[in-house]
Amino acid sequence: MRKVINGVVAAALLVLASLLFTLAPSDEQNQAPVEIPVSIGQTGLGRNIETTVHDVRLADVVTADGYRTWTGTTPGVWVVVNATVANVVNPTSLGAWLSVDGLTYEASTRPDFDSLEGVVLSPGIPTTGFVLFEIPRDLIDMDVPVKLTFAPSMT
Amino acid sequence: MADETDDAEGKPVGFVARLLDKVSTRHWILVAGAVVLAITGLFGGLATVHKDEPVLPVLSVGDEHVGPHFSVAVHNLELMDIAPDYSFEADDGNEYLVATITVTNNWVETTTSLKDALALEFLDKEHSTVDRTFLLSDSTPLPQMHPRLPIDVGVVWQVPRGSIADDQIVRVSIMEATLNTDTVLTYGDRWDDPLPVALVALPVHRVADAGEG
Repeated sequence: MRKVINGVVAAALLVLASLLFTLAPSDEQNQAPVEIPVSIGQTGLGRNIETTVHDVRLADVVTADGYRTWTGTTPGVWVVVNATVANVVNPTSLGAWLSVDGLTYEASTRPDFDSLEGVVLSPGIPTTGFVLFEIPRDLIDMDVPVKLTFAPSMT
Repeated sequence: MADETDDAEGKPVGFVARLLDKVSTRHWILVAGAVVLAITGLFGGLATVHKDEPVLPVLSVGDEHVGPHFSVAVHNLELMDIAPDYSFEADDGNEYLVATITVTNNWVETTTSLKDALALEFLDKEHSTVDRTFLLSDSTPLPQMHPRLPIDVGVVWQVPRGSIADDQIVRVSIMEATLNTDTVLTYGDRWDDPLPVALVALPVHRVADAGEG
């Protein structure tokens, strides 16, 4: 009887170990960036970035006149994100992505130094500006969640 | 069991043994070589194998090729000394050939990797590679191609001066790459090994200096 119990316990431990193994994070999950989810108006504080999105608007044409005068047309629609961003530890550039319906859009490089993506951020010195995304017009009519992601970028 | 039967009858084993005794090793090697040659002969002999080049569809000017990564339509080809909104002259002995195309990113992420989407069929590998790309609407270099958003792009090659005459028909290859998926920590998802999948034949027109000068 004791041998039977030992066997059952050993089998149970093996099953438990297998379950724990499947629940353990993968290498990629272990090293992936930690997402800090916040809503518009809230400040998200990461290890080396602090971001507040003030508002998000849509536009057919955008104009920037800081670094240079630039007027941007698009076959789709512009998503204009006003935000304040700062580094926490060391200076970097800003990377920004908009995810919708399984598609990921990088912030537009067309405004060059006029957008937040074109400037070098500084630790503890907030910079307020805009980030632009070009997306197909039909995406704005879809009732699906949209995710904006900001991250310090070394490129 | 079969060996025992052969031994019992004494014929097959004895025949093989006698053959092995009579024929020298050198002759056995010759026989083996002859067998190999005979087999290769069945598949075309020792001549170099020529793989049949796939016959690529030839698209008309402006026709769109729809691939898994990009949809591409080529509209025109122009020769110029200075490319649009680009004040640098081509390298010594070269001039610019500029294709105007409409491209749509059919993948799920923004990309700027358009250089492998087109190639000039008649040039060697060094010159057939795209020199640079720019957005036609505002001359942004290395334009981003966002998912499902068609854009008009200028694709610039440096070609040997004099290698293309005015009004000459030039064939542009539309390339298609293969998606290799990997983890973000290593290489991520990437499009590799571009191969030609369609051709567009266009007349080349020489234009006056189009750059900023």
